[in-house]
Amino acid sequence: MSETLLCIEHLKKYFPLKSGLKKNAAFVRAVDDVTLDIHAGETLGLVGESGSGKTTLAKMILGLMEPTEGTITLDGMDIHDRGRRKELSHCVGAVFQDPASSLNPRATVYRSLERPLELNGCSKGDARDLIYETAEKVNLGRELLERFPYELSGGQQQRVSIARAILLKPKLLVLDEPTSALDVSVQAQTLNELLDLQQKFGLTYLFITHNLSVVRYMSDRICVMYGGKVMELGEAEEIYGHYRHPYTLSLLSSVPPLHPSQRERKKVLLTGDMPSLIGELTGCRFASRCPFAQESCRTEEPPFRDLGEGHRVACSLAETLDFPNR
Amino acid sequence: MEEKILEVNDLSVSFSGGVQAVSDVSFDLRRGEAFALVGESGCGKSTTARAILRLIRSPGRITGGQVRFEGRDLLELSSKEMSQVRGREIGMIFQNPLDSLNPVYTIGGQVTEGLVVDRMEKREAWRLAADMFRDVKIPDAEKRMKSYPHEISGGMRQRVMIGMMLCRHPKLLIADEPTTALDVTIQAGIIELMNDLRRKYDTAVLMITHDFGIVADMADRVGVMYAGKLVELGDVYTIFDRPLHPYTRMLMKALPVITKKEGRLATIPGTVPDLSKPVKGCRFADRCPDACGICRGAAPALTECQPGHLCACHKEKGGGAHV
Repeated sequence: MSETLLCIEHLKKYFPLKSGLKKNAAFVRAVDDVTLDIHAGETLGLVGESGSGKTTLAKMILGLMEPTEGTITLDGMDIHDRGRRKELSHCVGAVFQDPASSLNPRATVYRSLERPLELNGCSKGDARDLIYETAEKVNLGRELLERFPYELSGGQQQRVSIARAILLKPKLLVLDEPTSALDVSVQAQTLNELLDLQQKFGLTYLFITHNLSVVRYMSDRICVMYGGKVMELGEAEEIYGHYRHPYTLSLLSSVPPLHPSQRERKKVLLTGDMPSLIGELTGCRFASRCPFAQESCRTEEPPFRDLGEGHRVACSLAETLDFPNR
Repeated sequence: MEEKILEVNDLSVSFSGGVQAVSDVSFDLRRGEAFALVGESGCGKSTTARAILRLIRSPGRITGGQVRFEGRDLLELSSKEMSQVRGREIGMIFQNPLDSLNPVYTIGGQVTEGLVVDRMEKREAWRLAADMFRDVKIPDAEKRMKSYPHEISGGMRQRVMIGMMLCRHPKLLIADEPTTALDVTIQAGIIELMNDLRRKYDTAVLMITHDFGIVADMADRVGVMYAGKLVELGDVYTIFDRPLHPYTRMLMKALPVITKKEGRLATIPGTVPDLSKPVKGCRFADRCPDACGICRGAAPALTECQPGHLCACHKEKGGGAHV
């Protein structure tokens, strides 16, 4: 197994709720005790419904948000160590969902790319060389550099975001829904480019998405989150072929079919809404919607167990449940 | 052949600056059928749906064509007659239900409003709406009707919209990306619901989507749009198994259905042509690997290559001359 690049331990993020005069009366447990490793050179796919805590986790990894408890270490350095902020700021890059809103509309592409270099004490000449070099890496024509974001197509804008993210040669790239706003043909192009970049430069990706086909295409390992907790983690093909968690089952069976002949496939539809993450929570987060839930699931929190070969699952019934494996 | 309830003939829509958003689109819907219009952003699929309901706002304008719904041309109706058609005969659901629901009225009030307009007694309307809420599988139907739109989740709101539309038993339901804003788990529920209710009420559905997965899950027939033109039309199995138009074939290969170990996704080089300038020839010619002289000279017409399978490509006339 390759070495660990990012190590997340017992990470928690609780958002305080203010109700009237009483401050901090209750907390939303957006991320609750997540322990996770990202290996150097891999793509870890992070999937889950809205509200599962994916983006909160990403923000903490990017150092944009302080965790309530727990630590994130990158190559042995604590991400939230204020003294080393500058050093860490170019270890992690980010690409967000909407490329248009993550680029300054009043700055040319060149200016948007130059700014981070300027802040990191790069001379104008060096910056130019690096920008041209990076633009080439992401197939961004030099003539586009003098344009403004509104003059670019969605795919080109996303390439600018990717170029900016890799300019400072980060060790880890956090990709938060990078293709959700793009059309299928542009999405394919962007995904291919990301894979090529990874192969050429040995980048490590944290790929966050709700699109399960995209995550399967991109990832080496997949992490399934629900209600602020990790439900299942393992090799991509292991998760797709031999998932052990009922939530993964319902998530995968909800994916629209690839062909009309699969229309009558058996779906495990979830009823009800995601539970509230406010206040004291007991038992398994998924118990309220789980078709297999037993009494003990509601009272005892299932441990995050290893089933062998790095396949980990947070379900106390994992061994006894018999799923139709696809 | 089943009866056609909607016939769109040569529909064209332009926006200011001469942008031809929709050009000469023709298709039809049979009673109880689900027809999907699929395409990428800017291809004119939503504009087509809105044009059918005459919801195109200035500076957009319907510049030609016919929309025959049960024998009448909707484009000829007065605006008063048209408002009788909307909601009552043709229902519509849009992507964001929060934009379609009034935030200051209860859901029940909004759902029954249409029925009361149809001269139904209020109590009767309320009872019918509650039944419909149970049909769209909203738990605690009676209680939920007294809620306001912000008090329920996105998936529930879309269920409310579907219920509201089906209350008046329209013959056609136009759904413009109804599940795009929802999670996959919720989406699967909504699609199943729409499939069930379509059969129960024998409502035809015109589904607008960019997602081939939804097409595979719902549609009987499919129309593929590109740059304002309908480029291919056929039965859903035909479109998936034997797509003829190069655009459809390339789009199918761009879908992420593989893993990275198995290879790379196919991509479509180039970009969509600028529709504010008149395009000579086929609109896909610049991106098409098989394009030749004739493709750049004249626009191909949508012609029937096989029974029920139409394709607008010069190379497909006479039923698949090339591989």
